[in-house]
Amino acid sequence: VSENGNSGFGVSIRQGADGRARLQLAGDLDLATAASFVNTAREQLSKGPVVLDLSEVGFMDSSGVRALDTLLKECDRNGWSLAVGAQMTENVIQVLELTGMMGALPIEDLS
Amino acid sequence: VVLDSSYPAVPDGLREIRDAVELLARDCGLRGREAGGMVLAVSEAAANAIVHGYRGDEGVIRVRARREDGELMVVVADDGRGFVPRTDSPGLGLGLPIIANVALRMEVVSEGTGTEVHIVFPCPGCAGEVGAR
Repeated sequence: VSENGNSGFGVSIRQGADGRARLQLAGDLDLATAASFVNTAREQLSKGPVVLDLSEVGFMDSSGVRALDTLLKECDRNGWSLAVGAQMTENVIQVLELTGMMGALPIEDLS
Repeated sequence: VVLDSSYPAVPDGLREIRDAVELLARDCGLRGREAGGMVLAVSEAAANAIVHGYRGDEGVIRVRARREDGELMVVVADDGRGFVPRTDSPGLGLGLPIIANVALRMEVVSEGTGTEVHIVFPCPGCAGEVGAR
């Protein structure tokens, strides 16, 4: 588990039964936390398939959207596998829809 | 005036600004996406002040808000380098479009140094307070 900032942001990583690393994000994904999230996710993606669980992210701004965009582009370039859980808070859904990012994410029902 | 506070222009300070704006949104009677939009817009304006205004330098972000005629005007002000294009911008240019999308109106005021972003939101909770400040 990594945590930083006043935003209460943290990432916990566990290996799923399906062989994919599941990154559970919690707190605020914003200007203060997006860069460290990208580094953590990039490190995991370079090792194997990753699933992002955003269900406990209470707030996301355009820095978080940019972080997801960066990871998607790196996945394309490097042949990495990334999925994003469908369960999200209303604030996260709002910013992803406002920026058009929702349609670009590889959404997957994790339930 | 319902808010007039200054915050350090650092990424870790954004949460404190959002907490203050969330209370404002509740006072305005906003819920759900309307409240979330207000918090998001002000946070984006403050993040712009950090990234584009101060660019890593120390500084202060001042957030002022006043209610008038069923609307809430929030002004996010910095004393940074002014509103100039940044060719090495680390963002996707999403901040201002987000603000414009969730606000009733917005205006960027920058004359030389410093930038003010004026953002107007609906305030149904103060609709009866004609001229309330």
